[in-house]
Amino acid sequence: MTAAPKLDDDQLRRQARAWVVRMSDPQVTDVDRAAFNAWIASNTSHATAYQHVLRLYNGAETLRGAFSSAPRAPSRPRGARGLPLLVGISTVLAAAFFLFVLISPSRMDPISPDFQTARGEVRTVQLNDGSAVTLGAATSLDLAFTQDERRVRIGAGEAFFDVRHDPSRPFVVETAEGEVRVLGTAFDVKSANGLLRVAVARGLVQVDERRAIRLPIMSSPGHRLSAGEEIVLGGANARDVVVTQATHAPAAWRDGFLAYQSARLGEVVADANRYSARPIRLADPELAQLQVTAFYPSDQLEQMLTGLEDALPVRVERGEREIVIRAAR
Amino acid sequence: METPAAWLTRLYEAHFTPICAYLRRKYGPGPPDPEDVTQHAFMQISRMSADAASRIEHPKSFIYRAAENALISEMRKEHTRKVHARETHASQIATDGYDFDPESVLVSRDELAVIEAAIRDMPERRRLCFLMNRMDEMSFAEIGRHLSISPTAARNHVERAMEDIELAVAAYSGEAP
Repeated sequence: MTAAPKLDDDQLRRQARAWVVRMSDPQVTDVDRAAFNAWIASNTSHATAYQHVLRLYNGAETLRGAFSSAPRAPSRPRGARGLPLLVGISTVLAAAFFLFVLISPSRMDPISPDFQTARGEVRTVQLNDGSAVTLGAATSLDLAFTQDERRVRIGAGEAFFDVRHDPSRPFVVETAEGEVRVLGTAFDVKSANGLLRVAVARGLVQVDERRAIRLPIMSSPGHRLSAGEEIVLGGANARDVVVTQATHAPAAWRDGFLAYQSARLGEVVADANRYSARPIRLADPELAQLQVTAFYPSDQLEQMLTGLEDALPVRVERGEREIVIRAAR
Repeated sequence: METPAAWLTRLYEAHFTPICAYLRRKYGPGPPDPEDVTQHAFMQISRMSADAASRIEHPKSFIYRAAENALISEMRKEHTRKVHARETHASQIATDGYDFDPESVLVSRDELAVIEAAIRDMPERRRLCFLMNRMDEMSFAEIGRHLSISPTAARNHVERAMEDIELAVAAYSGEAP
């Protein structure tokens, strides 16, 4: 027989366990599935570790008879699992998208924002229109709701919006780089150095650059994105950086993961700094251009740093005060 | 005594479609395609030695678990194929052995007793969350509503429960925790 996989890595065990549990949710989302796929794919030991935990998790099902369900919840009929699908179809017109803005902290509104999270903090707030916002780490956000429009300004950070559908009051997210409009539904916003990124999970969204000339009635055509697409608009001196690519595990951060596909190291480090107690610095600004595909739990920055050392020609100096990433010699 | 072919045919007729539906519901439409993977799992089982087949106590559980394992391995291989073409051959052989070995797929009777004891030893809330998740197949949102806690808290309870189970089984089999 094959020996049980050797799992001496605590972290690997913990991740595998977290995924077995997450994937057991009958309401598992496509976002979860995409993140799970990325995790399985990112290291060959992940599948083995997952199967190891899955064996015990699935095996426990055999004990169903040993634990009477009487003292627990009235068990809903098994057939009820079709329900979320029907809900999904009924809201097929709703767009969900993820907007991720990179703004330097110096450009933040000096006036105290309506909502602000600390480094490493993730918090969900309910808005009075029935929408909900999940704020990522080190995020500030201001609201300006009127009769005609629900406007939200992201000063810095990242947020996921679940917007209540209301055609008479469009929902607009404003950033230094541009704005994104939806009639209803869900999207994500992030903030760290002169870039605007929008990734669409489902539906269709329109992104307008702030600098584009806009006529009062006819808005500029902007960029239309459909499900699975992502766009990156450059900052001050990078107007030409418009990339449309397949999106990957958008807003995984809400579940405590940071996921990147062909991202720049500068962006990965800027995000990590919203979670890290010790600041992370690039010794050479050119390093910021290195391309990275990464996936790691946001509370496991060491895992990210080790991964960078493996994947890129860099070495990491872990000092008491700061972490410095240098070009490997 | 049933012939192996009849046994497998019966298993296939009864479970092929439900297994595909289970995998699709849990992991999405693929790739890897749930039907391809399930088909592959049945083929592997048809090639099992009589000795290995005789060690399968619960054929239904076995084929579900084997198909799920195969899907996970395939997900990994899809990636491996793209990134490191040269590793594929070795990993495929190793993985197939793991996916379809009865002892690697199913838990033993002794292990089940250990798992049951671990569940009974859990703090009440952790045990409730785990049983609602595992036995009643409730979503974390439903469990949360039922116990007036957040879905994340419910999920964390289930993770702790799994940790208890893993540690108990590891202690039983004499592995380092």
